[in-house]
Amino acid sequence: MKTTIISALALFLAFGASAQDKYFTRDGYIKFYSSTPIEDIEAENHKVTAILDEATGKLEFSALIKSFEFEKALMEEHFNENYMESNTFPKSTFKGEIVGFDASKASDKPMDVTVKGTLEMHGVSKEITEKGTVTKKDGKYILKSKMMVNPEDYKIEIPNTVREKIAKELEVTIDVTLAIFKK
Amino acid sequence: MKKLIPILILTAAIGFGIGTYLFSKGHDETADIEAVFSMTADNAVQEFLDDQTASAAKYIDQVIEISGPVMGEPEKTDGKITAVKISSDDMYVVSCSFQNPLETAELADNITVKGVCSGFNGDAESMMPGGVLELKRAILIK
Repeated sequence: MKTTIISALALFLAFGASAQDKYFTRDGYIKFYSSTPIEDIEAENHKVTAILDEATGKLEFSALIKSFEFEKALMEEHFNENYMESNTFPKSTFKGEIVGFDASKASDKPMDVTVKGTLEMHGVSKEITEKGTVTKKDGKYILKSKMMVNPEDYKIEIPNTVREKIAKELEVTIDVTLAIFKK
Repeated sequence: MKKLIPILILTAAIGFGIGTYLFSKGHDETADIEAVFSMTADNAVQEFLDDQTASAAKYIDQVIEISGPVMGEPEKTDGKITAVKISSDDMYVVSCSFQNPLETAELADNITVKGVCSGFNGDAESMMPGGVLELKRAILIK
């Protein structure tokens, strides 16, 4: 009887402990894409940091603005100096949660989720709610989402001279693979 | 006045050509740019930890040379190395993406790279552990 209770307790603790883990990456991917009849513009950042608390569903992202890379040097310079003012606002962050996250339901099939929280960019914080998917594969969480962002919502001013070259809303693609974080 | 018109047209055409070239131009080759600073990964990270504001002013947008031990497996695309982390401490690292994928499939245990500093991503008030000093458009020196 005692052995059974101890074994059951050990199993319970082991299961409970595994659902308390944090999952982390420094190699997350975010791309933003603007398409107009005049020009398509895209920039990619392969060094996004992200962390997921498996127990609570809390989720955070952080991306340095200067780590977004453009094909054209002048475009990258204008993006940093004129639009994002990245010397003043060096990073963009998201702090929020996967709504109603239940780690036990994650599997190797993408699961639709809703992510809610605060996106901070160019010194402006905005509450957002977006759709995404969560997949658990080989012990890692893969989070993906695609959303539209309006630069004006974050007081990013696009000069009239180039207004027609940049879409009113930018498509933002997020793709991060989070591995268990061992302290 | 009549003699000026062809000159004005030519000047405008040259200006347009230069403007188009500059706007379409890719990034300079990091290999052709001399590093302004050279240090170990640990020392570089420590400078940012000690004073992020001063270090940002000193290093961001500069080409810097970083040396140290390779941490973990380099990132690869189609079998070629595209990025690597350098650090002796897995909480605070230098993350470096290469301007061009490396031809070599493997790296030595200790390497030296040269790249453009994008800044330091670390926030003691967030859930995120440690911090990362980011380099872009890097090349492998040795």
